[in-house]
Amino acid sequence: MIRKFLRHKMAIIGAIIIGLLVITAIFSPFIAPYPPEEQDLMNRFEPPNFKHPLGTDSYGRDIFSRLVYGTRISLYIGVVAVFVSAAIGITLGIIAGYFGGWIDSLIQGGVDITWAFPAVLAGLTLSALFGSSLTNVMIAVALVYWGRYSRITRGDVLSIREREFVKAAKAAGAGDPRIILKHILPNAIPPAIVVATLMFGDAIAVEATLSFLGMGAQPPTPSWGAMLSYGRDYIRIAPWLSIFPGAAIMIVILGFNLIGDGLRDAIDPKLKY
Amino acid sequence: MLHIAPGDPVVTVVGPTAPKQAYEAAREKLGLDKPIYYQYFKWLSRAAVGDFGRSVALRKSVNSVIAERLPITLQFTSLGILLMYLIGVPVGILSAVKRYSLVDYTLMGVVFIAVSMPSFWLGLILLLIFGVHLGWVPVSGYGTFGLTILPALALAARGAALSARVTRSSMLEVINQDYIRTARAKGLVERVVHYKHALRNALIPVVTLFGMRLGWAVAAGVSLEIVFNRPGVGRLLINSIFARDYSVVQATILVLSVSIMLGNLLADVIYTVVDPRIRYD
Repeated sequence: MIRKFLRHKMAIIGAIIIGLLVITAIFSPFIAPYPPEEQDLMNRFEPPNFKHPLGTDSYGRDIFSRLVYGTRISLYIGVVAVFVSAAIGITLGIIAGYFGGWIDSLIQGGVDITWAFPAVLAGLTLSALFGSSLTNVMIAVALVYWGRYSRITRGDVLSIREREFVKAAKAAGAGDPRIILKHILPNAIPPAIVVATLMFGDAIAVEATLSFLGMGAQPPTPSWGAMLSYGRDYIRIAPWLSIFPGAAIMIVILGFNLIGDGLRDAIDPKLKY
Repeated sequence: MLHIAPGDPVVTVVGPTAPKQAYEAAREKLGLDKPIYYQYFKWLSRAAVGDFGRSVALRKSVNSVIAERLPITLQFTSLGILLMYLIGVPVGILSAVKRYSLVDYTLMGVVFIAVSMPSFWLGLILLLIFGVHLGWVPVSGYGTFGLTILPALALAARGAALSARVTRSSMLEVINQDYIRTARAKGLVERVVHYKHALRNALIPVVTLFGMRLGWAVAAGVSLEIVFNRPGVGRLLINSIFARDYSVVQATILVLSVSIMLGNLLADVIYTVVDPRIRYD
């Protein structure tokens, strides 16, 4: 499986991109030439140059440094949102697939509701309710994306449940909790990992969109989406304020998509998600 | 529920410096002195018969505000959704027919980048190129052809890329089926095999994903209205959240959700047309 993944050249490129971004996030203070919120009013709206590789904004803040710190926010949102939705989705998917019956119908009903509902709209509703914050962004992603995991896991569990080793365990007198934890869960995890990598990119895109709309990270937090929203106001005089944060968002999403595709080919080529 | 949010709609009406009597009078007039459950059920019972109340910020009935804004949104989103398929499906077919060639790799490379591009950023880039640099379109507004096609393109890009990928992979899958070999064996021209036998079956997964695309398009549409300064429903929603204009927020979210639901229903109907094997009864 790992060898299959390594043969996938695009996936390697994706892994390198994400690896570099993780390093950037961890070592931000060493990589960024300036503190992200340091203002330099003498050097406002500088186009990219040697001192400021990606230019400066209306307060003279260094765009490159802000982008470097922004990786932390994007990756943090991605990690939390993906893990929370995976935990909820996999649990409910196993319950639905293993027990069936009314509880299955109930969970599937929930999945159907989340399936076509956009996380951004959920995020907007939450901001209208509780005000704007990054926590709301994560809750919105989890509220909508658990269904993706749940659907995949349920399908897997339905087939795993009928396999010999599960029947053997049952015949040997194992109870439901033991069968689920020891036999079902380990087999249901790999396909969910593929969904998780693809969801990472989506979660980061949702954060960027909501922050762009002013409903996520609030200024002066260097969130890429928030930087874009601010750049929109100066698109005539300082286009670099909008170009670079968007490029950063695209690169992260591209990285996760490349890895996700490679993993999908390695783990389960039939998986469509 | 919307009332837990910080901020006060009464201040939106009378202004932050209004005397206490004016504030109380406005509060009573808006019905905000009543308990929340009372307000909610009153809203719900009116909404059920199609009356969404009044907008405190715009001083008009919510119905008329939405009726005004909805066409502006539908205009570019429907064009965008159409382009999604008009661009995506042919690209997918071309890629599948010329599989593992330079054309295929180039198209799939472009597709991969388009999938990863946030649509509001693409919108900004298009605006930068066509609005600021070339000066072909004004930087904001709506109504002209340029200002409809640009947001529509930005909206379509990601969906088109995803449709192209799905079309390609399902075409490749279908091409290896027995009935395609039969069609070839009986001497049909390659073109007929591709378009008559393969495509029809390959389109099924493309239709299945319509519902998800639509939900996504609605969300992307909101951000594109902000990028292009289009006074549609999406911008109305964002402005109303900022202004604490609850009745408008509730109504717009309802309108957007219902349109997603209707779109999914439509997808189910199209599904039975494309694949007669599926029946809902």
